[in-house]
Amino acid sequence: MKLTAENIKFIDNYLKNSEVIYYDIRMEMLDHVATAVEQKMEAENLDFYDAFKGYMVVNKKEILKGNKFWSIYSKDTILNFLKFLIHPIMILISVSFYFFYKNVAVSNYFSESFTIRNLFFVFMIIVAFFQLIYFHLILKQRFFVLEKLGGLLAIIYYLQMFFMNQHEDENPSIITLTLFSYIMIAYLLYFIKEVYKFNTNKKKFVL
Amino acid sequence: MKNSQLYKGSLNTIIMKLLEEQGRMYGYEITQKVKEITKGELNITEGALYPALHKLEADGLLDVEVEKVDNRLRKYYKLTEKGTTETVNRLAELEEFIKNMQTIVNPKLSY
Repeated sequence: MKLTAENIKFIDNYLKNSEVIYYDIRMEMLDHVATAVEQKMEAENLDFYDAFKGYMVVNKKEILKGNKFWSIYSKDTILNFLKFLIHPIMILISVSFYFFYKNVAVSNYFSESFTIRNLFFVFMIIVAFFQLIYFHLILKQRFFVLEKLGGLLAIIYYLQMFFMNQHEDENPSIITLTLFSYIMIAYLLYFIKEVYKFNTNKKKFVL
Repeated sequence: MKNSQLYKGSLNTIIMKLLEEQGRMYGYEITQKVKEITKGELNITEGALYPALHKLEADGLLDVEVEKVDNRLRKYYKLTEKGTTETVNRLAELEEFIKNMQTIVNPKLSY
């Protein structure tokens, strides 16, 4: 017995209300629940609502347990980014940054009120703002594969706060400057790469 | 999953073995197939299955195909080339493990 479009919409709304906010994760859960409900309807000769209720009473906890697994601060996201950081082209970029900062005293180009530390902060705010607009206004659906990149940006932000604010009265060292410039450029490239991959595969996620 | 601590470590291998045999499968199908093969003895829960599938996909061992089926999208998983090679390795490792466990648990049977 196949479910109607209304039945599917009902399950989708139920999952949405159960805080399964990411469309790409919900899509898979929805198919799982729908298939199980279809089988239950057939096996026990039940209508949709009774089969759905019966299935969720037993399985809701386990179904939603899967949802809790998805954190934007996942170890896998960090590991994938770290792998990207050691790509030969990225290493070349980092070396270029090092020699740039070694030969150019960048702090001289900034005023006392707007330092290079502020520049890093502004850069991150702009990227975060762009992500907010892209995720919520352009895509209109929330996708875990993309929002986990926002989590990565938050981690970089905290790292920057930790390292850059350690010596408030000093100029950041060449190593610190190189590291953060490198990480930020790498993040930007990584973000572009993941968005490109997402757009290439978008048909996979949208009905 | 029944006796979760014992089976947990083999979940990825179970999934890969099934995909090697079946070609491509979707989540619910995997849970039902395992239940069917083990005559209901082993029940893979959704909370364990999907994180495992996504991890295998992120590691490049699985590839996905999404199709519209009965008013909804269905995500099928299949082994990549790397996944196929890895399945052979993991099955060999699992067989070795089972053999060793048998030697420890029941030495007489292992000969």
